[in-house]
Amino acid sequence: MHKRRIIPCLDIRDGKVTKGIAFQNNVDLGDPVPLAQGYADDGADEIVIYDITASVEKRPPDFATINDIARRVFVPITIGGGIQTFEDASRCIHSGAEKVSLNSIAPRKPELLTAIASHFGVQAVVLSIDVARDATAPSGWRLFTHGGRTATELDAIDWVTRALPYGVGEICINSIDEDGKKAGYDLPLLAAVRKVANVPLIISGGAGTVGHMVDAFRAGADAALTASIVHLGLQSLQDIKREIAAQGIAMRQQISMSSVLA
Amino acid sequence: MNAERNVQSGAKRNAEGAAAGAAAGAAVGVQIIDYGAGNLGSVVRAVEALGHTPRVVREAAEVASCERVIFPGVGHAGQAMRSLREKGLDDALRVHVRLGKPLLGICVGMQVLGLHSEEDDTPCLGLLPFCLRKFRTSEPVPHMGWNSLNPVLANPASQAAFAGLPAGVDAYFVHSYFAPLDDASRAVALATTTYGGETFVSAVAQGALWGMQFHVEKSGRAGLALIANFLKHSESALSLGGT
Repeated sequence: MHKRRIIPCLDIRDGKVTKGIAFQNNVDLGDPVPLAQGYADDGADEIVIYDITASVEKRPPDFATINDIARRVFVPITIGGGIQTFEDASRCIHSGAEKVSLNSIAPRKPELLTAIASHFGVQAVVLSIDVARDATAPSGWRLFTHGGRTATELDAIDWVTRALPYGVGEICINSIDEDGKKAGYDLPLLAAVRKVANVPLIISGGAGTVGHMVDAFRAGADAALTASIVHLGLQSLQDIKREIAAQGIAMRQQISMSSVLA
Repeated sequence: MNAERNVQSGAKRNAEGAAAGAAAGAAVGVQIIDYGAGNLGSVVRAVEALGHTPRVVREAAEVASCERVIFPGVGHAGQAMRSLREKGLDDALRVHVRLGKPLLGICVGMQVLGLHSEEDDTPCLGLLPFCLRKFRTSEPVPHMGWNSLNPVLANPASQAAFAGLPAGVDAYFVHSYFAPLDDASRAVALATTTYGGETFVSAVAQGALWGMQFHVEKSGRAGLALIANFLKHSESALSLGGT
């Protein structure tokens, strides 16, 4: 049976994992390599690494760190932040990532989605969108870029509709309104994107309890990105997944290390 | 800046891997075929984590000296077959398999072991009796994500392949074409998986020739265990085959 996914997200600033609230007030959580390995050992279905300052500082992602993580983590890795060119994306993938996540660059250079998808396959392209409620946008949702700091002229739902034909394997939906509040994912936003997109949807921003993840899966999310719950060590991923599975949602269960050494 | 810490945790991991490698027999070499497949690096890293030092092979002439071959693949069957033919690797791999030497094909590397793929109407290596069809379903395609492997117990390799693994263990898939389960493919099926209403052959084995449709190198501990099981089984196949 096809499984829903739980994906820890490591936001990296100055080489350290950081956790923000409402995209601001960041707290340093340490070195990304052991954190990523720890999450993979704990049953993470994938790992997402966002270099949250790369695009503001106009520099590529940190390829050496990607390589270090890929030597220790044997689940899919997605890299976001700072990917400006096909070469950046290609270097991420050759450094050990399966997918790249494009956010700020995509509205300016949508043909980059096509270049990556036609070379590596559409599954290698994640369209990441930062969205906030805005009554002046036709759908009620406005697209932001640059880590949620810059409002665009674009209606978020209209943007998704236009971006899909360029070559998008998944969409990661980041709610600026709910980020770090631990009050639940933005389910109306999820529903609005689902209406126009038949690709896997990853929901991000707002989970505070396992129940919030269950709600998102029932509402049609294929994967839930999580930072607060796991970073703060409130609960292990394996416990979270067992709890979600008990609600009737198919989850991959981690197997013991002894299977590998058998 | 954290190099020291990383080296330490890497050393610890390698020690764990070396234990598994010793159990699987690190003395017999492992070769990985490079014909431009995107996941080559990930396959190399996974084999290294198991304590082996794989050799990357690019030329057809080198295949004759290969012992246990891992044959990765990403992308399109048509493109993969073109690259193999251009380098003469298609015939070199056919000879390797006909000599009874071990080979593990991964993803498109499994697909091209079959007879034919609907993708670009591509004739494949013709080593195993299955064909590839495109998913036609309302579910998203490619089939991407974790899905269960149901071992085919009638396959003589199933005990070795799934040693230490629970039934229904999950693996990580990314593919748009699949090998339907039919009378011919059933004879070589090692595992089946269901997606979009189709039950397909997700792993194959005939003697020392194995194939896995999923990305075994990205399937977490289960994937590492499957690779370790291939290496262990292939070592005994080599010693029995006397090649």
